[in-house]
Amino acid sequence: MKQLPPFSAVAWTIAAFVISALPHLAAMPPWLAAGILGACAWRLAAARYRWGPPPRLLRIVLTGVALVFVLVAFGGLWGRRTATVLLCVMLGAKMMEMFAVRDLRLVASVSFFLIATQFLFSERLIYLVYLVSGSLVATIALTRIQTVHGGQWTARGGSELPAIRQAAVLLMLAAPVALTLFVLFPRLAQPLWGLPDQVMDGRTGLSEDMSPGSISNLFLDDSPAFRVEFDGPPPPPGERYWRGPVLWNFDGTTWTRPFFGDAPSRQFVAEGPRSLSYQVQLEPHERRWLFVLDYPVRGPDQALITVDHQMLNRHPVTTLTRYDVVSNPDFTDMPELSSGAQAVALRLPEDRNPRTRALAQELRERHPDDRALINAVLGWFREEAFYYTLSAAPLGRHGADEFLFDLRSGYCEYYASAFAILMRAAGIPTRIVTGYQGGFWQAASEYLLVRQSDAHAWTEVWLEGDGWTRVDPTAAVSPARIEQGSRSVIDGPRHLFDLNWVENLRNQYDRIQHLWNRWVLGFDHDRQRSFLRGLGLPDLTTDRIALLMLLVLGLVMAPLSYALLRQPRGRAASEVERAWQLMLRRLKRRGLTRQASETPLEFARRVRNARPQEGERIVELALMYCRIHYGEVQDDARPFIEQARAFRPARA
Amino acid sequence: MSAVLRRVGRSLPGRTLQAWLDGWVARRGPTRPPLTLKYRQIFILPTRFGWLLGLLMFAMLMGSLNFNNNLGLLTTFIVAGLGSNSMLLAYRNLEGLRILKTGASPVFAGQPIQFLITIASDAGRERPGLELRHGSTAQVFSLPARAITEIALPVPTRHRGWLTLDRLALQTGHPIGLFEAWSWFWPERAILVWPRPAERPPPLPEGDADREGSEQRRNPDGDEFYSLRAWREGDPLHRVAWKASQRHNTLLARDLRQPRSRDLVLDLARAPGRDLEERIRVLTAWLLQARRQDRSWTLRLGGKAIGPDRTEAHLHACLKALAEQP
Amino acid sequence: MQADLDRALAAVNRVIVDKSEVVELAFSALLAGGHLLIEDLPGVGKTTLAQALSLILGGSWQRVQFTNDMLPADILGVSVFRRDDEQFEFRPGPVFANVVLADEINRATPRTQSALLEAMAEGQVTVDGQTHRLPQPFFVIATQNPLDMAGTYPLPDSQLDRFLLRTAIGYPAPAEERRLLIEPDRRQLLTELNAELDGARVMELIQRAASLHVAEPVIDYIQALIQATRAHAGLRAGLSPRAALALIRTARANALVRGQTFCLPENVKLIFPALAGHRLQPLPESGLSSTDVVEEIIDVTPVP
Repeated sequence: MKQLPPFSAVAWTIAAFVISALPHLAAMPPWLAAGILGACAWRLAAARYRWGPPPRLLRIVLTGVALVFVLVAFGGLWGRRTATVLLCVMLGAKMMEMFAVRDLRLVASVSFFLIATQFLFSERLIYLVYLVSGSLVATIALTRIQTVHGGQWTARGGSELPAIRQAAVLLMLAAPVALTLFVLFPRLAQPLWGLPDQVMDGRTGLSEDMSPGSISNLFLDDSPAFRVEFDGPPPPPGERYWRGPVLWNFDGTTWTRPFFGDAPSRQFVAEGPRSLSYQVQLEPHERRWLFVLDYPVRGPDQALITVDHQMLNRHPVTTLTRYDVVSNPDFTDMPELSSGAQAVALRLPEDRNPRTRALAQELRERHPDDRALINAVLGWFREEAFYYTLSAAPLGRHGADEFLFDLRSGYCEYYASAFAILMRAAGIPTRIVTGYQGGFWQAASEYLLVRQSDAHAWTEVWLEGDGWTRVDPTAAVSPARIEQGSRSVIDGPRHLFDLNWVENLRNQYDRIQHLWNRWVLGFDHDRQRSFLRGLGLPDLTTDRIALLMLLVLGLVMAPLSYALLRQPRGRAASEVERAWQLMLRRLKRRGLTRQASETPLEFARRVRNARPQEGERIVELALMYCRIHYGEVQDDARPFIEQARAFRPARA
Repeated sequence: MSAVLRRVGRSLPGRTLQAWLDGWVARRGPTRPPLTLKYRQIFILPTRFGWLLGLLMFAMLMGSLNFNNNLGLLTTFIVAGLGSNSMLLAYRNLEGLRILKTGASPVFAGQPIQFLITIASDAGRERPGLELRHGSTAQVFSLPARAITEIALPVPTRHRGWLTLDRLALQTGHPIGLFEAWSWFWPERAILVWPRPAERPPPLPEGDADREGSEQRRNPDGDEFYSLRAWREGDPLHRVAWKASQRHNTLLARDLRQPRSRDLVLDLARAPGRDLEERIRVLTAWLLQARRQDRSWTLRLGGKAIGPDRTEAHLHACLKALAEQP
Repeated sequence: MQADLDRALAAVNRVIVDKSEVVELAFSALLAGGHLLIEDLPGVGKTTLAQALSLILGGSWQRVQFTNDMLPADILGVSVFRRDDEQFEFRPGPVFANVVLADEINRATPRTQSALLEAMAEGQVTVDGQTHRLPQPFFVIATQNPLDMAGTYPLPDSQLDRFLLRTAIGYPAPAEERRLLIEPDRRQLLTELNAELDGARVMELIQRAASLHVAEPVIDYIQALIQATRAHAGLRAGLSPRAALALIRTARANALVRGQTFCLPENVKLIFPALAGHRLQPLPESGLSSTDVVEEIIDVTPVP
């Protein structure tokens, strides 16, 4: 049995692991997290009370049981979450045998890996704190382990401060290299391999389908959904409809996407005079869709525009994604409606909502013209006692009937769904569009912040001559929702801290977050290139960028190395000392080297013995030097400095 | 030191490689003390842990690049920065160290030599976690700023004679053990290993000469020794050491604790033992015994005679002569 | 003042042939307010040196030949009961003098040695509960034989540092020895010495030495030397801060002896072996003597 590692090294290593695993632990079943923390606690106690490792068999059994639990808990599904949870569990199991320097080092260095993997799940600004603290503690752990390994343990005694200071310095010195690499390391334009489609995280975001009541939890979520920067002025609030999934199918309770939802559009949207060009930074939401204004002309290379003008990414958006879009609002979508599409856009379950159907019949008789019928319905919404509220009751089997005749209060989903059912019953092809509406204009930073709470649903009806036309029944009921944003319609504070100044603070924070997203997270292949172009460099190929990186790295490392490798030898040299050193260097070139342990006069006298003709002069200068360097009177330094600099030893 | 390079030299082609490597190292600068470690003498390679972290870093890099995960990349690059700095720091920990001298007091074969290496640092900062290695023995130490220290490495001995140590390594894994910087150097000179004294030697050969002692033993225990001291009142005149007194310009008296017997003659050829080694061992034991009893002796090795004398220096000369016996 | 010192130095050097370094050390110890231990064979001139110094200083001087039957009272003094006025009277021992030559100090028993060493350390003597101050200046030159003679008691390691400096005299060089044989007897020369200094001037010189300028680089050098003794693996322990203070004090005194107005590294280099030699104890397994260690430290410590 080898010597047990000291408590401090073990404690720092465990701290590094726990800090870096914290977000992972929060995302796994509590009992599993508790098990891992328990293993850490056991190891700490073992270090404190000098226990040895548990028997080998017990370790194997416990590890096996933990692995089985993970497989059961995650149903054998393989995804990023499963992988990181497994890694955490393995490291937790490692606690039982973390008794050698090698094991401690392994755990401390895997902490960096754990930190990096967490960013696959979230890259919010707050995680910068996590990154810095995790790296620092892991570095302290590595430093401490090295002092154990290097046998300095007893020499240094118990104080942790030297190790902490050393690790902090080490990290700070790492910053220039890290930043250079960060800015100049060539980014991939295309991923090397795909992402697993398996979605593991219950992340909030717009879902793929809609049944009234389903988005309601989103309204309380103030986290950003995406941010938009416009090349020109932003569109007015009433125009800010961010198009997401388009839902055609209705089974009586739920609206879903049609089978042709992923089919690419065959219509060509041309740019027009009111075209808008903008960049969106989309927070990861694990789905493929990219939100755009009507109607996207072109998007990023890896995106596809579907038949109903959604934009779909090739892969689910798992990291902050930035994309450029051009949209033209003046476009006629499907002037001709195919019979197939018409059939899908009119289909309704026969056995649902009899009263709505009756109302539709009645309206149709009164208004043969589609547009008049729509206006009549919107007018009815406006004039009758319909209310917009987020606290809406759930709907039953005949949802539209209950809503239109009894409840008459609800939010966008209720209105959109009921309106669409009414339209379809009246024979007007209708579909539902989900997405976001509005957004908060950050005037100071000139970007539009769209929050999850801006989620919205509206309808599109097909009109002869105009094609698919957006109709937002919510706007009829609550124009404020559309003009002033979702926050205006919320009935009273949603929680304790829903105050104005908190709201302001939130907006301020989002502006920082936006900069963070823009310059750190969104710093991809394209932005890197445009950054370099901004520096006045021509368009560079990847290998040229790599070359540039090495060059800059060299430029950064040179002063760093110099500062590091300069061995301080006490006080900084004065001008007098430098003049003396210069003289010594010249003598050295003539083969007369002062030994470090020689005093100036001893050296000068030795030189005088070796070379009498110059020696006298050197002794004279050395005496002058001693008078200034060791003496009290400092004011007669000039003559010495000049004479020492002028001194040239003759060739031997 | 890289384990690979350490292992070189076990096999025959390894030995050739080793010789080449040693020659290469020697060509790069002084390899025997006194020497100052400069960049040409300092080698640096990642440790096994360094390679592991490198692998981990590569995985992190590929993953983060692929998922265009900038924070992941930042983490990776921080690790890279740590790595490049720890390489510099490991190098810095050795740079400018001065190996002043090496040496050891002679020991008897079988005892470990305390091989002393004097190392000095003029740097204004501490040099932590240094390791001095010779073969499989190593000594770990730290040097404070502007310090000088002496490190003792125990080296086992087996045979008498001159022991030439092979190269030593001064190495460090500071600050976090990712890189190991090391310097190789060779001891200044060989170390004398005295013969191992026989454990139960026969008694000293007293009867060799037939001259009887001329002076009486004053003290039968005989563990006091002869010396001069200043003359004191009451000292009889015949005790005055006239010659010495003249030399020192003052009166000196002899302390009359005279040797109890005549000189011993210790002859290798006449020592008991089956072979040379055994005879040498017996002689060694006799030498030590004679010195302990403060007797004067002459050592005869073939045609050569050393002594007679009784001093420590004489003992050392005799032991050296025995150690060097072919 | 400086001229007096130079004359005194020159006069002693006339008597003590070819040993200017030892004379310099002796003066340095005197002006640093410390005491000197001379360790050498009999007959190399220890006594002559001590006598010369005491004559030159003009004060009182006493010589004590130490023997093993000597008692502390023989050195410190005794209280004698006076019959006529029925009172105790303190009769000062030989230690009450400006210069005390303690010859062959290791012949005395440890008790007697301690009595002298304590008096040296405290500058006063306490007999029968009464404290008597020693005269100022007070300078002890002790001699001891390096040979481990029978019937000697080597000074204890722990008390060796009561002596500021320890030095050896050594044999004179052949040419000088010849001069020594031709010229009149040293004792004769001694009688020709005049008191170039007196107690008051010595005290003034001591004051002046204490305020001599020592520049930062010299302090760095002293610190480096002290550090080196602490870091040296061949030593039981390094020099104490008290020894460091003593080193700087004696280096100043040496600078004054040499007529400098500030301290040079040379002064430190000269003093260091005499100051550190007897304060350092090499580990027996290192096989080094303290002289070896001190020389090695001087050889490797850079002069700033």
